[in-house]
Amino acid sequence: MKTTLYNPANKRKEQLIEEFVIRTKIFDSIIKDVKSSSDKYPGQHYLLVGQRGSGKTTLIYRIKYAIEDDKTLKHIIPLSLGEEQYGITELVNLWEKISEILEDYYGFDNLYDDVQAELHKPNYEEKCFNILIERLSDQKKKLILFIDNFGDLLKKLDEIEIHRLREILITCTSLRLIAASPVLIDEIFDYQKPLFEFFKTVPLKGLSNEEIESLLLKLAELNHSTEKIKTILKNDPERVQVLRILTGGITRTIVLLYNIFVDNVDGTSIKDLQLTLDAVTPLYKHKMDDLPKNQQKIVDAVAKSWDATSVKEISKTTRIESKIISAQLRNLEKNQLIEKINTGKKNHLYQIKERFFNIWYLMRYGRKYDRKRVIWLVRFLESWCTKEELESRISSHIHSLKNGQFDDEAAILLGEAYLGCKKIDLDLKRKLILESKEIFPESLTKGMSISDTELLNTAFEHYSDGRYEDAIQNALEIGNKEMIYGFLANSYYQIDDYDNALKFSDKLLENGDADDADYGIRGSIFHMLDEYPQAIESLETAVSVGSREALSELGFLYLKTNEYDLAEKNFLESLKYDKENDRTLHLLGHLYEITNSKKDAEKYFLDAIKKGSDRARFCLARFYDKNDDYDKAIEFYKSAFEFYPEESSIGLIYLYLQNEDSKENLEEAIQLIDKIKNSVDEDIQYSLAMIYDKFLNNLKKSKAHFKRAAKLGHDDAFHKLAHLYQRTDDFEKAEEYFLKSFEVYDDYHALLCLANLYYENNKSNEKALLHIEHARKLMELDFDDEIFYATVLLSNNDLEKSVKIIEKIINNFEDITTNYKQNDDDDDDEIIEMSGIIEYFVELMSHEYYDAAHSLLIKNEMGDILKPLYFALMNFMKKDFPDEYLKAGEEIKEIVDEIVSDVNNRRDSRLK
Amino acid sequence: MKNVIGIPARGENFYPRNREIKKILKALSEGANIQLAAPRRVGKTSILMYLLDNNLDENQYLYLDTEAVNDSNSFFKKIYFEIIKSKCIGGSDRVMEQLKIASNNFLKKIKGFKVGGTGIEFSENEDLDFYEELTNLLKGIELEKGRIMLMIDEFPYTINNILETSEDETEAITFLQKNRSLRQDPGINSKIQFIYTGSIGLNTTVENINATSLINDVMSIKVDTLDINEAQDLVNRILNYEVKTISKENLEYLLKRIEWLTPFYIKLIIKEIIDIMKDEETVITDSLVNDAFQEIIDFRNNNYFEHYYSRLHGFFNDSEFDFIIDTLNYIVNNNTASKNEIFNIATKHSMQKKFRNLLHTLIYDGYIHSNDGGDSYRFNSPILKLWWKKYVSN
Repeated sequence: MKTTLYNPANKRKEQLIEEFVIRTKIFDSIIKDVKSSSDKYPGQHYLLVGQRGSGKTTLIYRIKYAIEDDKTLKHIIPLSLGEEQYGITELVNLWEKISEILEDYYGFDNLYDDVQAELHKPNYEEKCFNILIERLSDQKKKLILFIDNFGDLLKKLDEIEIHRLREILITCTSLRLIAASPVLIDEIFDYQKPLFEFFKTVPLKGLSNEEIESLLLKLAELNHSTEKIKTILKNDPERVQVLRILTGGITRTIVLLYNIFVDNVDGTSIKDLQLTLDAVTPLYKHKMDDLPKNQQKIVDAVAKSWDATSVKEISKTTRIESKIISAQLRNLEKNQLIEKINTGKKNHLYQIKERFFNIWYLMRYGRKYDRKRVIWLVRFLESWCTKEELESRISSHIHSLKNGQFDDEAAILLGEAYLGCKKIDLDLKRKLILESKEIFPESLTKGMSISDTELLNTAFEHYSDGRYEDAIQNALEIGNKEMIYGFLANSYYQIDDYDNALKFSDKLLENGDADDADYGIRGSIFHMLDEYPQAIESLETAVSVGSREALSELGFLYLKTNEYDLAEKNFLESLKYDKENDRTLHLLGHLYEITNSKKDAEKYFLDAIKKGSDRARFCLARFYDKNDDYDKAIEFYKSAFEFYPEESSIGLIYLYLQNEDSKENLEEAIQLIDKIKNSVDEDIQYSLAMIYDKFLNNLKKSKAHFKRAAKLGHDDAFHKLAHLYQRTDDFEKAEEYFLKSFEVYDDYHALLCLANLYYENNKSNEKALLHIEHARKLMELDFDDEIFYATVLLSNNDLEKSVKIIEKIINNFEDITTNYKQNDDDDDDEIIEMSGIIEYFVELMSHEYYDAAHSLLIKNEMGDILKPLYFALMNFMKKDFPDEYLKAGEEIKEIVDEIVSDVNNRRDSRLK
Repeated sequence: MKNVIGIPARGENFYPRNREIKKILKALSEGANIQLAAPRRVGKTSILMYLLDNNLDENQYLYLDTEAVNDSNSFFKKIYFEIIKSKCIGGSDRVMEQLKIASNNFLKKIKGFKVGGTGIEFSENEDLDFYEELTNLLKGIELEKGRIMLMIDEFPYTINNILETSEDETEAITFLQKNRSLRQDPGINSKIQFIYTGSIGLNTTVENINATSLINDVMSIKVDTLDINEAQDLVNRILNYEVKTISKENLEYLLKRIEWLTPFYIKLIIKEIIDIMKDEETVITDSLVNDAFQEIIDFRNNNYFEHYYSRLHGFFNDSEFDFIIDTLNYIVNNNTASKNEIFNIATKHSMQKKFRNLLHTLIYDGYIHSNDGGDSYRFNSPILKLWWKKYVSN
């Protein structure tokens, strides 16, 4: 039944009459005219104009049947020329064809032969026509001739023949024409042409909503789904409107989509569609082939977009200049292939006028695995089914697949359409793909996948919802990954997976697709990876290709790398474009804080606060704190309290306790401590531990808070805790926590402290050495630690190594001292280093390695610098340098004695 | 009255054009040969059909459409046979008798047919000179009563067809001379008079080959529009058939919108109104009228109208085009433009020398016409005018 709905000529007469529910007004009016026409004059000629599928042929057949069935119209022969007219190339052929039909079907014996006999005589057309008319008149018959695609026939006739046809139609009372055409014919609207406004033109417009409803109800009745359709019409009347827009109100397309809608079992409707497409292929192909190349390209682009599209888009797809496209579109519009949709603005939109042609085009010329091929079906399904309905259809589709109820191609096509529907859950789509791939050969399912666009859209949705992992998961499924390197780099960055972020950023750069934003993100990735030079390089590139957003980040990096001038330059540049950016203002505050431009620092922190930075309140408080502006520090810690209660509390507690002369302050501090004592912030717990240790002298609580800080992950808490135990002479606990700090947090310094613990407590020189050497392998030791190492080597009886180490230190030390002397502004460090060296010499002497000490001092010309040490040594080397120790000046004698005594004490205690 | 569109309205479907019919009959009675000059779709052929269908006087009216004739001999052959088959010859025993006995030299020379015992027998010889045949026939016969009033529809097309199929203008000019001889020969013009019509004006066609003198004996009768009462009457008669009604105010509004009251455009709008009316609706409201105008434009839009606009673009150079657009815009906005007003526009575009030719082209191509011998001009189609007003002039 469904197939014949597309081919009215093949439909049984009773069925066609039964199903005829639309265009009834036009039908009534034409029949009324036919029945009431006078025999004396030629009757009204009609031209039915409507797209393919709008019901022209059905209407023609309905009129034909009505004439046949009307007893009062027995004198009229309704004769329709369908495909028969394709052989007609001149007017006389029309009379021949009619004669043939009259002879074959209506008992006009020998008419065809009589007509044929005139063919080679002069004026044969006129003669043939006259014979035909005479014979009709003899039998008291009149002819109503139905000609479909009338324009095609006219095209084959020359102008004189058309004049002749007009003459006949004006004067002959035996022939009435009811013609039909899918388009308005030139002949009818050109003032110069013979048939100018000659017909009563009946436009078969797209069906109205009411007509569509009648049609749907009739279809439903035939399909036994009346209730279903009635429910839809009642509850979702807007679907009718959607259907009208989607199909242009064209009957054939409505019926087609309707059938797909009601048929979800075996895909028969899709098979029917394919048959129909096959049937129209010669016609449509001809239509396409007749177009000039440029027009073909344009039609291709417009058809493949399905939705109305702009000149700009067409130009992009076809790579044809916009001007040419506009001109060609006018031609295509004139030929009624393309329809302009007035947007009310300058740029109009264009679509294929005949939607069924568009469907045909997509199905025939759409790329095999391109979802666009079924976009028309997708649009329909999306508008006609709710999410739940669609999902249930898909589930039942999958079920049918499993049961093998489907025709392969129909199943794949419908499957593709379902995959194209936006509102379906991706997991259900994945299931559909999986099932299809399992059942059908690979050649059929090759292109079945969730579309990149959809994955990308979903990924974007997730991204904007902050669901970065989901965004990444969807993006990774996209086939064409090149388009999403940037997106992936960004998404990974958001979840702090900088290695992956960098990987995709690298790929993006390899492809040469990176834009300013991509370079910006790349800079941020490097920043987070602490790769400052690369971060700066990327951000500089971002800025050079136009990014303004990158300026602030670049400033931040310069700030971090102590390039304060560049930092300032970039921050200020950034503020030119984004003066409201509180982060930039805040960072500028820090910059000026560091560069000691206190007024500027204060100004920018305040500006940042004004622009909404709450953190800047805290930083400003700390700034005041550092600069000993007690009152303002208190004020801003308090104002930051709302946003950073714990950190601000710590700031306040420090301030209160530093000024503990006020009892109130102490109470305030205690109260604040009480409020935050259970904080789950490791830094807060650490700070509390420090406060208990430093200000409140409560080592028990200090230890407890260090432990909590350590538990929360503070990487310095174990270390500090170990020292606390060391201070309270709990060697085991100290040892335990130093080890923990090393093991848990890779704290190499803990090894040195542990060595020190063993050494100072005389627990084990060997263990001390072991730990130092372990640490030495893991990190570079500073001067003091190296001296300590050399010292421990002495205790482990390795003088040679010890001296080697110390010689190295002295050599480096000399360089440093030379430098320091040149600068000569601050010698604090020098003093520290010196005391370490002196310590070593004392130790060396306590081991009685006098020659080694002497050699070191002389060799390195340190006798003058370390005079007290030198004379102390001479004191022990009286044998070799009998009078030398006497040369010590009075002013250093006391110190020399102290050293000698210290050396003796150490030796004695070691010997003990 | 049925709303017949396109084909000539006949019988009760013809709305009597009494003024024109009266003028025609008067001119004919005075022995004049006439042409009905009017743009297409004004109703010329319907008037001819009225003369054909009604026995208005003792004269025999014959109708011929010669638009498909493209040579001189075929033209005269067509006339020749039409006359022979007509009542005044084939239907007249007295004339048949004259032919049977070939009562004079003229009739003796006739080769195209014989009158035998069974009636007229046509010769198989197709190579006859039918102008000669026709001349001899007309000169030789004595009509029983009155004259033959030969109505030749689309006559200018025949001239054009001849021009197109021959190498130069000679054949067309000879053709026009022969026609004039028929009109002017005292032995013939007492028996036959000619009524020509043509949507592409006869004068324009003939002017193009500098042969005006060959038709200056033909009297021109213009076909006017309906007056307001006639137009109202026409609408009501059609609505009667369609079983619809319209109030007097709305009818006035409808006709005011149509403005140029030719039956064709009145009928076209009525058809459109009926088309958009629902079955159950019977009264035509002003909003239906407005919708119908919009529909009629929408249906024809782009293809139909663009054609009129873009054609001008292709045809004329820039200043000619500007003059034409200005002129058409002026007519659209003022309903008519006088000769002086158009000349005024021509001076603006330095078209003083050319503007007359340009106007002729506009008339020829169906944009405008003059009903008063060139004193003023107006749009042919109120629908085109409406479209023009909406999409071009504003």
